[in-house]
Amino acid sequence: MIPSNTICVSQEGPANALALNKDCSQVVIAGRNVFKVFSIGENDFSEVCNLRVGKNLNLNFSSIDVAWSTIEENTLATAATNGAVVVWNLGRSGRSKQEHVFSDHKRTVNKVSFHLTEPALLISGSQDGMMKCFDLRMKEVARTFISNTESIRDVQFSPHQAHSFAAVSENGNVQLWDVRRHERCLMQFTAHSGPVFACDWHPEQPWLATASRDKTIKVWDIVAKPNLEHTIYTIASVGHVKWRPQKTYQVASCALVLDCAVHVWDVRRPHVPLATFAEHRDVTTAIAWLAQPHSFLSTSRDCSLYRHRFSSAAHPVLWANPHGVCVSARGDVAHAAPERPLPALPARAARLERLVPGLGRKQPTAGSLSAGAQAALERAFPGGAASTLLRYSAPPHNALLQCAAHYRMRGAPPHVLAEHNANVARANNRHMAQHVWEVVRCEYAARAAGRGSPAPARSREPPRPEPPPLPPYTHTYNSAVEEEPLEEVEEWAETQFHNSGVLGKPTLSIYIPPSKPSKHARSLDDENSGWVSAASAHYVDVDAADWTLPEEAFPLRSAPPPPHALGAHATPAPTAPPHALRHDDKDLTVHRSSGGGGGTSPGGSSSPGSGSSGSSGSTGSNGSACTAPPNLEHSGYHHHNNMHMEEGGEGCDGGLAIRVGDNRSPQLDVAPLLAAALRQHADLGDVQTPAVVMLVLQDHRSDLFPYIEESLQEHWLLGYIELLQRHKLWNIATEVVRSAWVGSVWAVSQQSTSVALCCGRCGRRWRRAACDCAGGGAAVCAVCRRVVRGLYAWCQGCGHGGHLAHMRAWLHRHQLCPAGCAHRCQLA
Amino acid sequence: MGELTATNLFESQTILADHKDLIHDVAYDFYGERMATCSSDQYVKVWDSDGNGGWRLTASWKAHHGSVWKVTWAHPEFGQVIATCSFDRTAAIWEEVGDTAASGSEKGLRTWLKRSNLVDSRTSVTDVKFGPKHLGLLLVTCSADGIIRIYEAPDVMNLAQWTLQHEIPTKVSISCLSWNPSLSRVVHPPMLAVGSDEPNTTNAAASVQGDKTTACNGKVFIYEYSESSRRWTRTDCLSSVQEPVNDIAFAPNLGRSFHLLAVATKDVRIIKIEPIAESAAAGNNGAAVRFKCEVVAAFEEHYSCVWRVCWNLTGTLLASSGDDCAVRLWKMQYLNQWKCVAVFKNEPVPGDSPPQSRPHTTYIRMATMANPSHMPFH
Repeated sequence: MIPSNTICVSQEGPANALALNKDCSQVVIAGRNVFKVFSIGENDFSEVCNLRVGKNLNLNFSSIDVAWSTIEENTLATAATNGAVVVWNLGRSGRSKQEHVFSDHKRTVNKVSFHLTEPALLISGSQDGMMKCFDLRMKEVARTFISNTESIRDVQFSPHQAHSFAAVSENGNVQLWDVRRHERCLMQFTAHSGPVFACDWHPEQPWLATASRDKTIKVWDIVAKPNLEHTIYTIASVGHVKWRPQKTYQVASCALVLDCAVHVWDVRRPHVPLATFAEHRDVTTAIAWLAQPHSFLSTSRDCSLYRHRFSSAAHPVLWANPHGVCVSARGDVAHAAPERPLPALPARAARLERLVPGLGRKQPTAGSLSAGAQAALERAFPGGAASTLLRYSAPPHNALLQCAAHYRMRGAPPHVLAEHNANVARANNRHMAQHVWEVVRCEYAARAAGRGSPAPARSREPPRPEPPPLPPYTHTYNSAVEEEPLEEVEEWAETQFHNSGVLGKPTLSIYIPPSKPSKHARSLDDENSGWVSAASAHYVDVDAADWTLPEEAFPLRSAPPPPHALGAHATPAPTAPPHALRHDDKDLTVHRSSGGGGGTSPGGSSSPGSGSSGSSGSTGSNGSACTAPPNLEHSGYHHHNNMHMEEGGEGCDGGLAIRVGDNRSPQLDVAPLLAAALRQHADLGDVQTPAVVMLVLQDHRSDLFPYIEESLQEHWLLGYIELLQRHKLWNIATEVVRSAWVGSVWAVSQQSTSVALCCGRCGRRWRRAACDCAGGGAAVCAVCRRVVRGLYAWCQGCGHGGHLAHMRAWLHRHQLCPAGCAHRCQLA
Repeated sequence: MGELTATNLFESQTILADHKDLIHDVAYDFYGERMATCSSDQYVKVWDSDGNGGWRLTASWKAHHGSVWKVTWAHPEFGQVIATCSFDRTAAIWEEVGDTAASGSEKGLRTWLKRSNLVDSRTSVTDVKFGPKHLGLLLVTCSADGIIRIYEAPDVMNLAQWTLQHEIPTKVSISCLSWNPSLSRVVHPPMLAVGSDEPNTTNAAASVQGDKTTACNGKVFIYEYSESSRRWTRTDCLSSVQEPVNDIAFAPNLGRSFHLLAVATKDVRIIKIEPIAESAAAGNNGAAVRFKCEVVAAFEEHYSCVWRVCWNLTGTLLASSGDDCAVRLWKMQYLNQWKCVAVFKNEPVPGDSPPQSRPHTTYIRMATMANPSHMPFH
């Protein structure tokens, strides 16, 4: 699980600190229970020396910090928890390497640090707020620096000025001292609002990085006066910070709590770490770069020591989502994109290779990028911090809203509403919806005419024994299949004309036999093979179940669809070029499809003879079942029929009238077709049409109930209401709620609604009919002394009033208040 | 059916967001009149439409101590409430309080208060989403360690109190999630889809891994809540998605019999999830509902990597963005074919020329559709 180029060793206890020798070949780690020197091999750590030996392992062996002299090969110093500063000499013979113990501090020593050029100088910072400079040759305290703060957390000699060092303290201050002058510090400033836990001098720039509990790392330019150059925002208190060698802008940090990972930041991009090393399972306690920028060591409270290779870094930025896209309810698209995308391909391609250990603590870790990709990423990283926010506003016109605003949902019989709504749909170029409306209109207009009033839910009368002789059925298409020659179309058109309805003009009608809803979806796929059986099945069903009086055919014919539907669309058909016709044809197929096999029968019925031939049987089932298939094949439409359901596409320019009923064949049952059409609309994302159609049908909607389960009805209504609400069309949404027939929808308007009344006299809220305040309840007219119901007009000056008419009449003749209060009332 | 050209133009406009780092998420509110952005600079900004196409910054505040990954709006019934989630391992609930600045100097800047801080995660919280309104005030978060957490505010008036209702461990890193927004309470039980960005380990040396115990290699999981057992259970795993998933989105379901799920992975994928009828009945008494899942579209136009997907209100249009820095709009056309209808290309600034400081407007035309009259919307 450990990346191949990362090495790790475990110890007995957690280490608080580590230090490298000057050539970075060995490392010492120190903690409460551990104090060891390892040599760093290519692929492993090997223990060189365990310094925690001897008879009495006192507190001098429990270290907070450790430092390795940058000059002397064998000199170490540790800061002990008991306030001692211990110097160790690895060159001593014997097991004990302890050289000297300085017990000058009263409290825990937090930090020890060697002078960079003077081998004998060691400085310490302690919890008692003092720093002491030790002279190792004299074995005594050379100077004591009193910080006047509670505690010093870190001290470090500057690489730029040989004798100055920085000290950071828990009150958020940074102090610069000259090691030769202990009277006062050179410079002091408040760096953070919380304790500062660590600092690190930049190896080249005059920069000091400070790490604080306020979760920031700040970079100060310290030349004349401290100037805040950069602030890095991390997610947790920062415990340690170390500049990455040879990389001017990069600094590594580890957190004191919460975050176990080591992050490497680019100060120019202060919010996102450039690289993350998440191998540790507990918080990291110390980090140290191995003199070059490609690897570093870290120890952690999880008792491990790691050497990380930079090439095994995770790059959180590669996992961060650089894009944001949102589509609003209005259709606007907002897009946030990086202004300068990261070098894309090689990095991205390689990014998903390796997991990092740490069960349940997985950091978004990328794994190995190729060296080139990583370099490219490092270059591009600081500049990649900007996003562009773009908004693409949608086209303004929205047919949906227009329709919502103009559709009528109640207040008239269904066919009237449907006609209105069809016009609305057409005006908005929504031909599919228009088509559905036309179907609704035709169907219910027929019923209305048949009943002479808005029809009852459904007629279930038995077929009349003696059907009156009727002109043959007409079923006409004003369209043709694409491949068909034009002549045939014309011929068809002629036939159609010849066979047209009573009025002698072309009538668009489709004969759609009833079918079971379950068949709709599938029957069409069966192609021709299923025709006969499907057709006969329909008829049988119909015989058994729904029959509508054949006589209804009469009223329908006598009241053909309004001219705007018929004239506009039917007449141009014969002359229109085939490609135009084809369009209509598809539209037609929509309706036929829902009828399943029924679509085929029109072809047969278009000739006068076919209708009569099929009509011989009293039930009509045999005849029509037999005659239909041949006619179908003849007409060449059938393959369109089977498309119809799949497309679900519906709607055409052509007005489509459904002629209901045959004298011999059963009444057309439009309900399953309509149900299928509505479902199709809903599936295509248009919930408006099904919801409004269901509303418009009013009492007739129970026709559809067998085909549309109530949960779906509710779904449609709720969907439409949400759609309207998103567009803030509250009135329409409320109207939908009020017209809804589904209990749960209807209840929407009653949820968390209460009515509170306020008494006009005393201002109290009351829920009863009348307030019991001094006025004795309801307002009394000052003129007629009766309780005013409805409009109450009163004088703003004296508060007396009454019926508006009475007050007017009174004030017309008088100037003083009718109540006798002597106020000169005015009625605005 | 000549489509009016004017109705097919998208007007593009740059908004100077002034975030100091990458913007990770943009979210419109319920009505599309407010917009929230969140960024790695730890700030969240709220923008209000002025009704004339302009957007005004009305609030900007430091929300987290790490990159803010996602921002999302609650249904306005619950007030002006947003939730954010962050790399700092927390998710937060913010509520706008009053119009603090009636007077001139503050100029309508509004105050958002942190009502609650959800600190249960131990790793970066990668996504946060409010549940559908009819389930109450629910919030779900997911984190990089693969735990999905579902919170509920038992009292919608008290946004400070959130109880952790469910904790669902998934064992893989979860990058994104989406509620099924279906309004139908009866037929569709509460449903969540989550996407994992867990890298595929098979191609990387394949040495160490004792492979995941998950039976399915897919990266998208469907969880459903069962009323009877009161638990969320994984009911499906979409085996068709094998690559790490960056984003996932259910299409709004206003009355469809099936669900559409968009997945941003190596490509843009649209998956149709159809509850199978027989088991739907059984689903109510605890049996696992099975779905019929079908990939209805997969587009590779974004080249290597798709980052985000988002649906329009009716679930008829899908917007996606990817490494090519373009937004592509996909729309279902005749015969259930999904086609690209528009590409919004955001040209990267070449070299280090200064970013354009002036908002500019361009127009992009939407592609015409085949057979427009056969689709309910166009």
